[in-house]
Amino acid sequence: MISAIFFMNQKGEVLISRIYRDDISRGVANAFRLEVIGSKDQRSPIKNIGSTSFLYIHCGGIYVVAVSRQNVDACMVFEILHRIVDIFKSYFDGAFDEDAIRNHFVLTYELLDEMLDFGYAQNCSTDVLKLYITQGQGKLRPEKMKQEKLNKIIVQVTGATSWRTPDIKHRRNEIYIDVVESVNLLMSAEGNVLRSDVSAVVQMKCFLSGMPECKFGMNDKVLMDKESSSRQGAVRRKSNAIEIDDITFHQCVKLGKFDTDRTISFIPPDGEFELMKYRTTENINLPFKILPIVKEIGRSRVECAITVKSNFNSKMFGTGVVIRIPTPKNTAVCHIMCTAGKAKYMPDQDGIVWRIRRFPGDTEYTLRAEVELMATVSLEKKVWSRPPITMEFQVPMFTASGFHVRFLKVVEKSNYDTIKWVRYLTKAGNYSVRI
Amino acid sequence: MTENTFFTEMKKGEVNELRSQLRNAGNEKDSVKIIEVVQKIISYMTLGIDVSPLFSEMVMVTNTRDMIQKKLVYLYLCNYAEKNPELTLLCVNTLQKDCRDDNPIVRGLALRSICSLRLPNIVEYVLPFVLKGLVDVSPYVRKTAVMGCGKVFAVSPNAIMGQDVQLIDKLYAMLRDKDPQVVINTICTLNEILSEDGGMTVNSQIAQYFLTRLKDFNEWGQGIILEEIAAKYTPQADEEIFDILNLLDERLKHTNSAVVLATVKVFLKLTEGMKNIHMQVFERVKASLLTLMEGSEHPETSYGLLCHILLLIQKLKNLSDGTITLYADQYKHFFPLYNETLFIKQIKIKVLAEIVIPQNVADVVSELREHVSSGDVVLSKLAVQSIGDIGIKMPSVAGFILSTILDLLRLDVDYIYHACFLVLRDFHRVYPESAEKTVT
Repeated sequence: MISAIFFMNQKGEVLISRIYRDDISRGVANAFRLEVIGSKDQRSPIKNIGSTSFLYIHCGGIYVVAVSRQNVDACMVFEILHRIVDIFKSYFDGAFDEDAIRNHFVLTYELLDEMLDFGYAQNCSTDVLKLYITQGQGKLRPEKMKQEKLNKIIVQVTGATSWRTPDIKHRRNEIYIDVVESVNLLMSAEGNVLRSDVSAVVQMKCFLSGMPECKFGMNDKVLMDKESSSRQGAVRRKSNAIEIDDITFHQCVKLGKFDTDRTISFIPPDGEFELMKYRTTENINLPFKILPIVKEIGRSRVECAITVKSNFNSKMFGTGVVIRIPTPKNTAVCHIMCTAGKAKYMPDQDGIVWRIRRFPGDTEYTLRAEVELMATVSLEKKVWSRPPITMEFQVPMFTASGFHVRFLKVVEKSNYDTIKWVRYLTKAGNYSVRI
Repeated sequence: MTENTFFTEMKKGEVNELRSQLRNAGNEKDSVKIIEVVQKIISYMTLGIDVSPLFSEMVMVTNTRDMIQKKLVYLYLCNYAEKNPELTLLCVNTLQKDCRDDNPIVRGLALRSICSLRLPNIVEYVLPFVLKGLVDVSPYVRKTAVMGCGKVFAVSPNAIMGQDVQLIDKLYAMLRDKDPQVVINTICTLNEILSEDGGMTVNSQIAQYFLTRLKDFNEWGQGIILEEIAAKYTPQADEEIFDILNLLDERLKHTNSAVVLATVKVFLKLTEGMKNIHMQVFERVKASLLTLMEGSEHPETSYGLLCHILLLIQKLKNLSDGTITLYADQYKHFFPLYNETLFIKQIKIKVLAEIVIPQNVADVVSELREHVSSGDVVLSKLAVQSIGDIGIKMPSVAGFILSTILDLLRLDVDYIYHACFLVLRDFHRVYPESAEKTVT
């Protein structure tokens, strides 16, 4: 398995290293610096130098490198590395950069020691680690802890429901569901939708006492077809069901039950977690349509006319709408005119950035721009790579796929009432229109 | 005072200063000061500065109730133990005392550290504690002790394989431990120790036991079980194969890509003998892999999945003699997006070139065309190459491909010229009649 983990900055300096096995030499960090960071042409996240493999991820300006001399499972290593970064982020309040690591190097050593033993992943779940690896200032005083509490922590670290301790108590039992859909769109220059899909995440925040069993229901076509066929109904109810291509679940969901009768039943971890991810490609309601007309006139001017139309109920609003219209690298000046929001040419982003704070449904806004290019004296003609127009937006209480939470049942021994909240949000994933 | 201040410049002779500081603090039993100095030493060690001369002083401060100080000192000792074998013997005493502490976390820490010292001359001291740890009441200590066996084996194989110890049998018995993490560590250790014999033996009892209890393990454990046990097990009867396939089917819905890929591996290996079922496996797993690839936030995981997807496509083509092309209908999902990392774009183009069928060739080729003018030299060349490859593999669209390549020449860019001419040369070898059209 993993022989060592290194944290390196952009210059190739080692910030922290942890060596788990002694089958690698101390010079491996140098080798990595020369071959990968120095070469600047990174064509693969895996680099093999001799019989040593370097698997690395790049996060927040830091390279997290796993070194191995065995035929290690590459995807497992990447998952472990990403999990390590996530855990650090949760300890460092979201920051993961050189300073954060230098400031908390003691904590980093402790965590690396606990998460991997001899190169094999042990328990990498944030809640459990937080129980006995506290922040730098707080010292664990083992002699003051009661023996039972200690035993409970131990069972958590190694047990099967490693994501939940048995005796959690909350005064108000609440459960929040956030359905966050990312719409990805790729439209060709001719206006054809090349591909469109929605990948969504259902995030939950559970503040429930005890060990509650939850059941989650959605308007999944397979389930609703089953239900309508089992009823002896004559009326064919027009189901507003959505066809989900594929779903993946958090490790707390009982997968067997889903297979047999499409019910999602689980014992949730306490706090915030990702319940499931799903993907649909059919019947997607695209919230915005962009109609671009971009003309290159000679070698000195580009004219664009971009129309954006919103495709949802006029009572709803899109927020944080940003449309980026790329311009050639040798742009001098842009004359812009738009019917809503503010648009400015940003040279560092090589394009016009058009921001609209509130975009009501069923409306159309246009932007017209005349881009003047600087005269170039280069002999070789460089083709403008024509990057696509990209868009960012958030539309609350709207789902592009039509996903709907039908019910959420919570069952616990003490039979308490739970307060439930559901929120939908559609945001732009990779929303691009080619020009 | 933040710990960042420890990373300021160091002058020569400061190591000596640290030594006197540590000695004084140790004599005064000033625990706050000791921790400060120890943290400073570790920060120097992190920076790569050699603080090994301080070994004897560090040994003196191993005796403490403070967990953080303990961890730091043990970290130092494990790092520099190889250079100071005689001095290490001095701290073995403290480590042994900690191995008998009431607190299981302290016991586990001491056990882990003592096994990581990597010195042959202390193995005789270590082994009794490892053996005691194997039957400790706390699972935390047990799991550390199991890993310890693997570590000791790496330093001194004879100690583990010795006759009177009978460690291998003890480890096999621990496969049925109540605690999942202990069991996983046991599997890893057995495979390490028996690696020369091809790993641990997996008979049908063991395989059944683990496959039925797969859900009790966390995601890393599941990945290891699937890799080490399921993939190495050869079932006796066909029915058993189907049982295992049904049992593992739901693993395909897991969020961890390593678990899903390990399941795919097991499926493929088990069905090797049955050609029809084997080919059905590919169809069964393709949706899960695609969802994972699309939904992954991290390019590295997507890259790993895409490499496997490419492999599966090629494999199925070989098995079915070119009749079945996996993902041919979902070609749109492999269109590289503008802001993706280079290595992802590259492998997606490679995949696109493999999944062309007559129904989608027009769309795929127009997509590849877009990437020729992408701006990155290697990517453009790869795109042109792929267009050419498609033309050679599919004679029915040779004419279309040829006109596409000739069109690309009009872009008037150096490296595109080179790539196009290479493609045209290969084209004419395969289709000599196209030469005329090119010349005009």
